[in-house]
Amino acid sequence: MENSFYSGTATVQCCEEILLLHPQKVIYWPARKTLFAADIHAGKEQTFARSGIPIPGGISEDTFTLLMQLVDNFGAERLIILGDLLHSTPVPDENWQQHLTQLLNARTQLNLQVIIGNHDSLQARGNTLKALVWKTEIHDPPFVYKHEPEPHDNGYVLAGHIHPAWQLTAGRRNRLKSPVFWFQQQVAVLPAFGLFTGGHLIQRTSVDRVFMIGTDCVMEV
Amino acid sequence: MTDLHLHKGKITGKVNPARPGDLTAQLRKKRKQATVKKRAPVKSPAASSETATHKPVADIEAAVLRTEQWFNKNNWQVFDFQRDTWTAWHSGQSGLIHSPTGSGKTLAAWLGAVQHALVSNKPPEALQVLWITPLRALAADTCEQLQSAANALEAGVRIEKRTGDTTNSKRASQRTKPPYALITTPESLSVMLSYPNDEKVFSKLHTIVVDEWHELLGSKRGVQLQLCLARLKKICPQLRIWGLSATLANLPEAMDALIGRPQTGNHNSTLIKGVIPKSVVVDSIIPTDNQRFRWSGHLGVQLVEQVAAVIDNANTTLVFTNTRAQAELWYQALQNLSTTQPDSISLHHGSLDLKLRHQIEERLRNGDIRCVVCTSSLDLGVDFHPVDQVVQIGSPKGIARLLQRAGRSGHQPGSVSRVVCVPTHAFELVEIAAARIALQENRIETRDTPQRSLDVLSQHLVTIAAGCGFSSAEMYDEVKTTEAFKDLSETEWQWVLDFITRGGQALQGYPQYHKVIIDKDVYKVVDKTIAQRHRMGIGTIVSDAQINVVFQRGKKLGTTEESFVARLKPGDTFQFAGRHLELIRVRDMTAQVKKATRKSTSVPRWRGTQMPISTELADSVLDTLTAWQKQTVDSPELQSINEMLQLQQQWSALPGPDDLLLEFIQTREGYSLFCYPFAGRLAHEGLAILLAYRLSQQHSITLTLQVNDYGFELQCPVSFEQFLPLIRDSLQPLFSTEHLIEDILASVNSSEIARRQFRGIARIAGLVFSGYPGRSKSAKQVQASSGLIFDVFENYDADNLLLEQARREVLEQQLEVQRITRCLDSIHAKKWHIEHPARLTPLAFPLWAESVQGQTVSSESFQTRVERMLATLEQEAGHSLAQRNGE
Repeated sequence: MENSFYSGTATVQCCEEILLLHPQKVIYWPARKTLFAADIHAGKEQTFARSGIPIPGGISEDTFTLLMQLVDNFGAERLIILGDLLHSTPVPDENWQQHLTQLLNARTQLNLQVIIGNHDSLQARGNTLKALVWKTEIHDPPFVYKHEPEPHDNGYVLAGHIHPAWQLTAGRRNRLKSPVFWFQQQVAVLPAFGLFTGGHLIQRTSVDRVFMIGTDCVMEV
Repeated sequence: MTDLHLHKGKITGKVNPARPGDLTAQLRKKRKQATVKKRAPVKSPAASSETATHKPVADIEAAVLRTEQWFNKNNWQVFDFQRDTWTAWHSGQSGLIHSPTGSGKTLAAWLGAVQHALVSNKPPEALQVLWITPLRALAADTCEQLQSAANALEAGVRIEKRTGDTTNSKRASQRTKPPYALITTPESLSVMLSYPNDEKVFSKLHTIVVDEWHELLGSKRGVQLQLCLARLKKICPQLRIWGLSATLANLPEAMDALIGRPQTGNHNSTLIKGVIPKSVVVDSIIPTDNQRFRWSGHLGVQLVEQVAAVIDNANTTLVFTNTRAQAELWYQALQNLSTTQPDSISLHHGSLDLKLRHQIEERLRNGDIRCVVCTSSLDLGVDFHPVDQVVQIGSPKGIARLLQRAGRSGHQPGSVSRVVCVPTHAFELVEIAAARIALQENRIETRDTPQRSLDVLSQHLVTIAAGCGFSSAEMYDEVKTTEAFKDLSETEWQWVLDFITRGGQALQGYPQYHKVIIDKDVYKVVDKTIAQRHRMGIGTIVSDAQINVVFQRGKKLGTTEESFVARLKPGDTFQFAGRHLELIRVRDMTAQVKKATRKSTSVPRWRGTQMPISTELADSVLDTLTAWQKQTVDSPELQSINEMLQLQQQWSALPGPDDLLLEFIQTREGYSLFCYPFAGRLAHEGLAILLAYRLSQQHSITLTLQVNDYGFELQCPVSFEQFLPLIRDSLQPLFSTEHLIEDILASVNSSEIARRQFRGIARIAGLVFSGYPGRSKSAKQVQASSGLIFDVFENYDADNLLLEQARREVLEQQLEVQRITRCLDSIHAKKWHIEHPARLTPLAFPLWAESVQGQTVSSESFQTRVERMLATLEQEAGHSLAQRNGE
């Protein structure tokens, strides 16, 4: 079981630390037992529904269930959300909030830290479960965790925000598009984790490392 | 259509380089000389938009008499079909008038209502006539035309227009002081129905005229209009509905779709045939022997000199192209040749700013320009003087379309319409010859209305709910009277109601969702924001985000797709609106440009502008090829490509109606199967996906597909040496009709195609909100791509009928499953020619050379695929490196 869980992951050495890139769009840092996920956009389907666009419910619940499964499978002790946990200001008792509370109650040992993203407005945070610890950025040498992927003087940045994706083209017609992990010289960008999030094609340079994500594996391209 | 006069012609080289002198004067002289009675012009010379006084007459006879006197005074002939229409109108009938463009249909449909107004003692005070036009751009011209005719008859009626451009104050005044007739588009009519006072506004309505019905019939816009018409018939039971249409093969069905099915009894309707079609002469330009003619492509301008000669030979010419990009290129090419009078040629297509287009139409009318290069943007349009001749660049793809375009030329009734076809690659010469034969045999296409478009129905129901509201049972009966929803089931109806009230199955129990609410059995929208947002999204035309192209000082040139501009950097140059432009910056959906100092070859590609060849024309092509082989046909077009057809025969074979040709060819990129069913590009896409899917079920393989109107290509990477025998051994089962629909559905699911089709559906059903105009950022939180919503529905609401509709539309419209079925049914009775040519044949080459729009079907794992793609890329990189080193 454990073998198959790790089989699709790719390994990156970053600032002399080993990071595991998992096909479920998270990064695990074994040395610190820390799991990273970016751009959850919880409550996005409800935001749509409130505006008269009927997107089915249950997506945010599934997103958190999957995230906690990953926490369990890796045996992570710390979980860092790299911004945009929320999509917009939620209704206080929205289904996913109870669900998340239950998941967290079952994992009291888990140290959850949330970076404030551009979607996590003050009002939105106020309407969300009080147990969450919000930070604008976290310095954790050799890394800095923040939402927007900009270089930082204090360390190599792990960020989200842009939902990176890449398209591979071979020959004149053969094309393949997928979300990616994007490691630049001073910043790494994680793919969006939320199950109701899209992707934006990135402009990479030749020194960047890009890892495409398939259904069951991560591959450097 | 026995009176159709046909002519085989050939034009090579310069015909008459001499240019007529003062064109305007010549034209005027010509018009004066004409003494025979003419048809009424599309616009009276002294048109006035002011309302004339109301001078009533005693009865209908007197009103008709005044009409005829007006015709006589102007030396115009009253055609029988016009009289018939007036009589039918006065007896309360509805109907469909079919007749070529510019033959007096407008006056036939309009003057009945004007005569009616004449009989009344005082000028009318309520809105009584709705005139629906498919193009906003036509509304102004139509308005002027109707007004001037009404003024000439001294009916004292006011005609106004109501489109997306109409100001709020104008709208308000139209409510308080309604005009007699209102000219509008299907979308604006929908918007009018979304306000709660529609029953009052429309209560006095007695006539609706739908102009260019053939343009709307086959599309979702037509479906939307059918629903609105059903609504209006309910409000005003005495309503007459009249349609104007060009020639179609299935006119009675077209009329039924327009008028709808009566809830009780029979239609009171009549089909009226207009003037006898003009004779149509199809000529072509044939490349001279020393012009090496290309085997592929559709943008080629190598015959531009001959085309310029043809243009020189007449006073006025319309040059039709099939795409906007092609229009831009031909305009530039012609412009470059005409050094003496560069202003005498102009460009006209749907992405140009409306003002520019109007200027061009005006200048052509005045005789200031002699030639307009245009797209289907000029297929329609009332206020348009016939030109001397029409040039068609590339295959017209359909017989009806060729007839329609040819009909733009020829001045006098019964005079000859002349169209000169210009091939852009060699095989199009066969299409031209085939089109001429099909015209001779009167093989015109039919046009059918889309069935059970639940996206359009959802939108319409929200529209009505925002307006007066509706009750379920009554509305169901009303919707069922339309052709488009005659087969709507109770279950589907309930699903749509559920979808607009509770968001469908998957959303049950989410109280914050309240798009449409049910209040004492009345469905309505109460939330003003939701109603407002819905109105912004009304319509069924789906296009990519458009970017305005403007000069620095603010002059607007037109629009282009965001995806094209996104590829440009400031300083890059491109061709647009017939100019060489340099991009300065892009800001807020606007691209600022300036005149470029250097020339550019980059032309925006607008998506979705290619239509497939019609079945009628494709069949005629196969017949023509057989006739060529049997030497029973003689046309200059076929003669000119004798050599190419012989090559095809020698290297491989030439298909006819009873043959299926398959070619296995090894190319630089791998192994390919080429197959030529001649069923049109859409059906070929379906066939190719089907075959690729069936192959990928048996073997782990990634195939790339390419299609055109003649056939398709399945290509496999070089490393698959086993590919060839593999397919050869399973040819029969690959083309089997067993499990056909299941397999197509499965293959559609395994490819991107259903997801792509969902884009339009999501937009129409209100799932994708394109934002408020000019306020691009305010709606960001509720924006998601339709592809993402498709994925979410598949995972969380798999029974959503909109998904089912996407698949159905893919089958019916995207892949033309009927043509696929027809093709596969007949394929086994055909003689199979399996050839192994040593090189690309004349038929294969265009497929191979086409590099856009490739589809992939794969049963390989992600990992295998990425590895192979990376290997290919490395190989290519190594290859080009080796080339560079070798230099």
